[in-house]
Amino acid sequence: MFGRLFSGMKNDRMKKNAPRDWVRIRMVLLGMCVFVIWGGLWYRAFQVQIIRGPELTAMASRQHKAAEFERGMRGEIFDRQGRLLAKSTGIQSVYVRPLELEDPAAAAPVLAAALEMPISQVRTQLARPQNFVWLARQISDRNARNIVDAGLRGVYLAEETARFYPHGHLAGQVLGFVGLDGEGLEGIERAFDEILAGDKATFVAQRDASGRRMYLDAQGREVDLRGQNVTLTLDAQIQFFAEEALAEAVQNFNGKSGMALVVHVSSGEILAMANYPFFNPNMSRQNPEQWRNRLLLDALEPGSTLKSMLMAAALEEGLITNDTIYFCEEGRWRLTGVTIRDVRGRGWLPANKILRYSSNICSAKIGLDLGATRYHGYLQKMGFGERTGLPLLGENPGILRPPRSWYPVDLAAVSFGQGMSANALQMARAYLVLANRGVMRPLQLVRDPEQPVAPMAVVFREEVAQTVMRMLQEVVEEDGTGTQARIPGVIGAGKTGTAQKATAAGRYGDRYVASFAGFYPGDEPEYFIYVVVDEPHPQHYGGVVAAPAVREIGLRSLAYAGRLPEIGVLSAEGQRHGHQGQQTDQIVTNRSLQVERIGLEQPILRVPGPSEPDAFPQLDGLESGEQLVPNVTGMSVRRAVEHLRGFGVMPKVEGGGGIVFRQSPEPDQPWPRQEREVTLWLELS
Amino acid sequence: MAANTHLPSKQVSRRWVWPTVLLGFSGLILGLAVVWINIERLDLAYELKQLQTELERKVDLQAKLEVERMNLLSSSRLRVLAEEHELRQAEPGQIRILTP
Repeated sequence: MFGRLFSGMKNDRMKKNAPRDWVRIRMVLLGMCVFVIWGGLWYRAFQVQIIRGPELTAMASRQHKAAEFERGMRGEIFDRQGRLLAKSTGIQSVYVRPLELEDPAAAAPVLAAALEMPISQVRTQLARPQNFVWLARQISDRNARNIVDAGLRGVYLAEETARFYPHGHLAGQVLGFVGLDGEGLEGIERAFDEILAGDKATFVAQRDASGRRMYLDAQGREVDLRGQNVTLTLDAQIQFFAEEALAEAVQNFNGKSGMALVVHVSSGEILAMANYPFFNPNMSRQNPEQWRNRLLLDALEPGSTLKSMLMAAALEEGLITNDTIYFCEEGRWRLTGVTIRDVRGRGWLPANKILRYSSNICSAKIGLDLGATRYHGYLQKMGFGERTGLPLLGENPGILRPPRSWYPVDLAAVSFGQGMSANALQMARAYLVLANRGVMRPLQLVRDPEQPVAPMAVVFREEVAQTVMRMLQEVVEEDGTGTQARIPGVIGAGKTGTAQKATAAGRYGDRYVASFAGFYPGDEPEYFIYVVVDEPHPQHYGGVVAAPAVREIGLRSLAYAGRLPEIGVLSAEGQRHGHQGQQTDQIVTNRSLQVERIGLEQPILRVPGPSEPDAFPQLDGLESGEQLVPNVTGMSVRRAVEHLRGFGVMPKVEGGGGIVFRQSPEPDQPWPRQEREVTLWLELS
Repeated sequence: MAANTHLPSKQVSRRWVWPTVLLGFSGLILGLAVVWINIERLDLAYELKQLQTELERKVDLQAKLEVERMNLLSSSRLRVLAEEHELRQAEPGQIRILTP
């Protein structure tokens, strides 16, 4: 077409006289214009697509695509029964861009009301010369709704996750807590942070003009980013029992702190780990002292609870038998310039009674006969001086000095639990050796994910372990120091501990650690319970301070497990010392609970009123001929308390000291009321 | 013979008209289909995003309700309720184990 056009033009020039064909000229010009424009467009397209293509593509990507950072929700923590102990949920936080606020002065009261915050705090935040200010982190849904309803410009909500512990302070120190950004900072949360924390991933999302993000393809987003769950061996119910009993013990005896441990004997699984004062991980900004897991971090001198280990070692070595007698020096013995005392002076005692009455002097003598190297070897075999290997951080291994550095007085001290230190878990592990027929099993705190298990080791012969267990039964069931740990109908076993605390100057002062290590049932142990109260006063004996707490935990745990017998031990007919825990085959002739029948099918449980003669269970010493108030003046307080407990009475104690100098009601008088109350006044000596 | 093997150019161009038109039409249809599919894909992405947001909201709510439920069933709270209703734990001798 252009050829013809040009040839036409040539002909026009040749035919000078012919009139010009303006139509054709216009068409040519138009064609040229179209050609130029078309060519320009093609050039531009070439420039945009080919020359600047990669650069513009990158710009477009930046505009339309955005990197979306995703993090999976943190895993949950459960107890052994599947009860939820910790869970993360989405929650809103509020931030402000102060420069975008139209009227900060007017916005402040609205925000303060919406967030239930002090207005001064809001004003301070709004006045900060920054483009981004957190106003409140992790607010409630109601407050978030208030913010949305307020509709303020420059105020935004951001989605975050928060960790919740629905049982409050229950096992707070064990669970630990997480920081604002979801990282584990203490306890299980920290030890299992890698497992619990969700995975991270970055995806490319499409962004529309209004900034909304969406995915046009899967990009592998079907991957599960959630963190793994952790299941503990703890039982929330038993943990609750332990915490309640521990709190009561610490409060009643004005203790500084306390700890309680419950372990399932045959499996070594920890059922409860309680610390007092409590720590609520929902409010982690508390005194750091409160979130200390003392069971793990505090290594204390165990006191007389260690005597069980001494007995086992001496029996294993054939040094003593159950009947081997030692002279207890009537309560006072001087060894290389140091005086060792017993609470009550005694003469010759067989081995079982040494443990039953917790004689320091006789224990020291057994320790000296055993020798430092042998005794140290057994303590080491039972795991003292080394960590238990539980998956918690910062365990204190305690102090067990090498035997070559032990002088005789050191050996004597270690024999009754002073001069070395151990944490509560180490004590539990050692006691489990006795209950598990001489075999040491590792403790366990985590069921899932499965933890590596240390191999079992034989420490004592089976008969040795059983002999010590029988001795421990006597401590509770006979007239030992642990009678307050008795549970009617269940054989108990255990050992009291009253350790003196060393002062900063390295000497022993007047502060004590009271403890009790107990087993229920004592003949076929299922639960090991260990309670420690730090610095109780005025009472400081383990048998008075800690044993009742152990009893309470044992009683409730057995009832919870359906293992509390229904036999008639409460009636305890004719048993003077006969609590014995022995399970007779006799069905309850139930005095405290009677069943009436109204009509045909309606059994009504009736608790007799106090006026009825058999309303109260008869315990030791309440036989018909012994209805007089006993005389406990002049006795040591421990002896007095134990004696009165035989009458079913828990006395009130007034004043400081160790000897009872006055009592109310007066001795040898008939009990004034059905509810027996005794007050004892103490003096120093 | 050789002259017969070559069709006149007019005939050749006619022979290609319909396939070309068909090809062009198909191209147009396919182009429209691509545009339509892309629009649908975008709509679907919007809907999916909305559903995902809704799902996350419900999962969050479910998690909060679970936490609340566990809190209501916690031993300490039940203990308080028990005390309010004058219930207390069974003592030894007050327990009967019923066997079928």
